[in-house]
Amino acid sequence: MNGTLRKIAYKSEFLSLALIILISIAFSIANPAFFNIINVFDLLKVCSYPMIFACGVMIVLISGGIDMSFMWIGMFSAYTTSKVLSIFQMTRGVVMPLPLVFLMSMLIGTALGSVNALLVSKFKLPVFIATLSSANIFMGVMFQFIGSEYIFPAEMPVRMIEFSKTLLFKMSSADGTIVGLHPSVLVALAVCVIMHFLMKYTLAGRSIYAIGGDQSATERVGFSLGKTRLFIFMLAGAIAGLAGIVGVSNIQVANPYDFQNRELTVTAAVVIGGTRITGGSGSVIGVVLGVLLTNIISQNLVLIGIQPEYGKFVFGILILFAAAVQGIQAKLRGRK
Amino acid sequence: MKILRRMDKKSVQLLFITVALFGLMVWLRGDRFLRPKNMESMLFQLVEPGLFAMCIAVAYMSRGMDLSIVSIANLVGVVNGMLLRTQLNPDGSNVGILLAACVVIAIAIGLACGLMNAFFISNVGIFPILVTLGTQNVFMGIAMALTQGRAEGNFPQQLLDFGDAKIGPVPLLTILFLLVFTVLCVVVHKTPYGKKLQWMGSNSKVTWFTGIDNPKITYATYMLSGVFASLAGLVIMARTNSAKADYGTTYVFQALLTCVLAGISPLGGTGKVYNLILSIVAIQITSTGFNMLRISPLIRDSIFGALLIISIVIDFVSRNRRARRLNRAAIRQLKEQPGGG
Repeated sequence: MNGTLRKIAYKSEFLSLALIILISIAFSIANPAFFNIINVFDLLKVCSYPMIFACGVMIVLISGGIDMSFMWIGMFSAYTTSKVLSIFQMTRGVVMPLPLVFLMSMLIGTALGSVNALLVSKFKLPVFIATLSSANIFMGVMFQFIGSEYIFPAEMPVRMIEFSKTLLFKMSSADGTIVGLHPSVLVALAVCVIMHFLMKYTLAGRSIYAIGGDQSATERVGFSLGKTRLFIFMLAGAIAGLAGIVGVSNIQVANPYDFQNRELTVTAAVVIGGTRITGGSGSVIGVVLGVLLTNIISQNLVLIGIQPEYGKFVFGILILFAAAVQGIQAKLRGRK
Repeated sequence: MKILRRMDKKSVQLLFITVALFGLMVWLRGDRFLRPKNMESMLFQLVEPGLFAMCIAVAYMSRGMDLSIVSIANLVGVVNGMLLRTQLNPDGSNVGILLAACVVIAIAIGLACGLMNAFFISNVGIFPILVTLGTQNVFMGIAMALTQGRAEGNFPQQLLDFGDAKIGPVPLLTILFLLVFTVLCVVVHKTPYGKKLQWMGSNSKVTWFTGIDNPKITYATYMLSGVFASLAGLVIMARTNSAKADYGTTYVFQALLTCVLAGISPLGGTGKVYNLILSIVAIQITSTGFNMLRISPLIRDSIFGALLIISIVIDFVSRNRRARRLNRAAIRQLKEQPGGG
């Protein structure tokens, strides 16, 4: 029994799960409204698109690099898609069905992701530097050639607005407001499930772990580093594109500045969920837990009476704490 | 020509880039660009990014990273601002003591923040980028909590005068910056600590087994970086007459860019710190130039990004060519040897 417990405690996802449980208990004692159905549905909706982003961040992190470009890839794809479709809609009255809207954004994301792959595998740039600069380039290209003005709900593609207004499993809460599950949660769930199976049971997924664990060994086994990198960054780009369009649909306004400076928040969530920053280890379950944890904290600080000014502080402490636990776990494993 | 050949390769490359950029600006907007006032303001403006680039440079040397620098600078500004606001006598009689206290407090904050970073990196064993991401949020959070997100300002005239002071045509702050910069160059390239820092950056396992105290080097590195960041905080106070918890967050990207452009690799151990001054000047010329050409800051960042990629790609190609040449030479030598080939 003791052995099993220890095994669970050594799991990298264990920390975030334990923290989620502890914090939920603490929050619900501080304010019983925490477990309100509205609050839970709200939390899930808020988590949905960061969760999708996080899946993309995870695969790049597992392959051994820190991606700084995914937010701008997401914004670029979503903004371009919304802008092009809104122009078509205004001038020709063409209404694109939702799956095609999502697909278009994902394709743009894939193309941008392959730029990253080119920089990393052809010119041997460190992933952090390559994606940091490519993010800035994507941003500049978007503002210069595509646009920098907001696209308001009246001009947005109709299907995206419909998507954002849909609620599943509708029910009315105690005070009469109608609450329900937002479909973006299902999109996020689908992405997570697909990624879980991809990472765990396919050769492509295992090659991502391999490349992050030991590059030269991976090459000797017979994987092509270039092709694997291309696959990783294109997949990450497609996921970022999907996350971007889901995020923009949720907000109903395509604001090109919306995702600015939020790369590290999502990356931190992924790391808190147990993905090792040096690569080779991590899981979708951990990512889901990490994103949930960071959002539970940032969403509910006000609810338990902490000023929003302290949010940064709490978030920083959380990162340090989670990373410290991981560091200590690694040291203990090393000692064994 | 002989001098050029004897100089560090990167310095020559950077010198060409700087001169070319300078020439380009003279050609495009010579009348405004060459004005003494513009030259002066460029010298004035390069101090903060320069100090931040120095922070990243030492962190890079150790194969680390310090994302917390701007937060440290803002924390210094905010704490000092509160001190000045609450403790200054209305008649300004104690301003001298207070400003001296500000400097002491700034350096103490820098050291303490660096100490915290180093503790998590070397004692707890967390990856530097993750530690400094956390502490970045913590330091900024402290500053936010202290000020409730408001800006501190209205500093005493003496501080602003100090910021505006000039010796001849050169701003005093720039001269002080060059002094600090020289100290850093000497420390990294001429002292035992500097050598150990570079060795640790290129292979920390080897330095550990040769008996070099890696944790000690790590502590010194991040405390040094913290002190430079806190000096930048003082400069920001004197220059802008305000301090805010979330001021200038894009400085980190610029500092990373400056270092990589100067050939100081994030993979540790390589590069010459004195090249940094050239890349600082080059970037200052570019950003002043963009201002004059009325290019928006967002486009500026994206051009910086492109510059960064281009400079690394040039590095990569030249290194590849050198490696191939050496390879060929080695093969030739083998063939010429009797019995070889």
